[in-house]
Amino acid sequence: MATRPTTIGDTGDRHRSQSNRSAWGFLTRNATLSAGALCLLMVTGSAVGAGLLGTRDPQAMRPVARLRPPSPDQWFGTDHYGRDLCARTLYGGRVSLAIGSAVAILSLGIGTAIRLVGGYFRRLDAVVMRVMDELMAIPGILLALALMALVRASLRSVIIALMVPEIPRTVRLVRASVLSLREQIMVESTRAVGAGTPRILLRYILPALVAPLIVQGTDICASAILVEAYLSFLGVGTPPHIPSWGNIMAEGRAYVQIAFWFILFPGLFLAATVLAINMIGDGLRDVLEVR
Amino acid sequence: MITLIKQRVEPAVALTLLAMLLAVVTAVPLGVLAAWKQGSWVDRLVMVFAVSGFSMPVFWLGFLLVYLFSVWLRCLPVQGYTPLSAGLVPFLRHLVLPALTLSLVFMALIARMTRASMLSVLGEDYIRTAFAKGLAPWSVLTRHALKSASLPIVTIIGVGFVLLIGGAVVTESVFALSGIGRLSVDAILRRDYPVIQGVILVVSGVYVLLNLIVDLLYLFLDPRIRY
Repeated sequence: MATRPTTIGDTGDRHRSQSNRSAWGFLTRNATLSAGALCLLMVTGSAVGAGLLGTRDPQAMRPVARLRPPSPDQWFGTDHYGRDLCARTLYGGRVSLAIGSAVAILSLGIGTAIRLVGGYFRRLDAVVMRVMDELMAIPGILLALALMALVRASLRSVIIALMVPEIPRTVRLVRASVLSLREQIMVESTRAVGAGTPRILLRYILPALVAPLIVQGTDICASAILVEAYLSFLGVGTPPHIPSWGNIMAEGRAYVQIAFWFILFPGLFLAATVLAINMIGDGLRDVLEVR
Repeated sequence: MITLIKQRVEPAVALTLLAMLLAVVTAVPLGVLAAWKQGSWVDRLVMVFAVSGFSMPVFWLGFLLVYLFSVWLRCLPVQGYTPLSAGLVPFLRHLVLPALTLSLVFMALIARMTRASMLSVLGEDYIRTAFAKGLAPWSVLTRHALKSASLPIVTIIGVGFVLLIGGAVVTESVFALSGIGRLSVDAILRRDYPVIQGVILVVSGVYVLLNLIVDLLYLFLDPRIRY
């Protein structure tokens, strides 16, 4: 959407924006991006530094203090085993954020690798794309569910199950970009100079893919965190002994009517995190001028 | 297996249809409004709503609504399903919360798409002409702009069906509706392969059919398109 002024009359405006190129100017002009980044930084900070914030042991049970409402002593209340929900939520952030970023990085990497090669060799292209179409026809949650039902629940299998539905989407994006980049004059001229295919792929096409891939990565990360919560909620996600936001809420669903804080706080953290990542994605889309 | 799916079809269809209806009815006007008042606080509000709609876990939103309307205000049933044959009012009372829960993501998607599509159409010359000859904004927006902007919107409604199915799986669990989504989760967890295949077949069939309808709708919306 963001179009730069291109007419001659706009030089004054451009001059002004150039003088305002400090870091602060950048942050205020891209309010969505900086608000999202700030929020994500806070969540990440509290998750990583959970041990330093004076929280209790997230696994320590105190059956006497079951289902206590939020109080100054225990900010988010306690769960059905008397475990401190504040500590569990903060530690749960580690798991959810790690899953989100791992899924994003892995599916981008694998998707790009598949595509970069296929986008250049048309013969391979047809086969790969049919397989990807097939994967895309199945709703992502059902596919992840089915994958999780096949293997033993562990952090690694959750990441793989979330990754598989995302790869086709990355492949599609990269495919569209590679197809249009391939026809550009820079590729043609490089070829005329005598560069080989690997060189063209790595030096000319890959760098042009970085911006759309980063934006796609934020999308994948956000949806991976959400879908992990869905899977845990349905009982097939992260193994129950690991506190992830999804797991805490899955345990809390039975107590919604009497202990609402149980699922409220992990959900708030989850929503805020996903919102922040989505905002960063939207902000980057404008800054990097993707589409 | 066919009887199994047949039993589960009614709640699933009722839920998705109502959610879809709810989403389209609210999201399209919101998107149009946001595009018309681009940059204003209305626009900001709609966009914030759209982004947060994507960010909330469906089941969490469901519990939030249940808590608000059923536990706190005590005006709607917590969960369960009453068939349409038991009367329209109890049917809708049981369905309104799940449908609202499910529709929010879809609403966000449609509102975003409507806004983007309207923005590109509103920049066209013929819209300026329509305003210049003194037509009321309402008539310009709906008859001139929305009609040409509707192609991407209709497309996203068709494509977003997958999103709706994914959401239905979770929503049906929250509200104890025994629909297709719940059936597929149970089948997958029990490794009941024939039922899994059946469900996937039905869902994909509906998806293809829906997109065929969308393709046919193009004919009415854009007279330039001929098949």
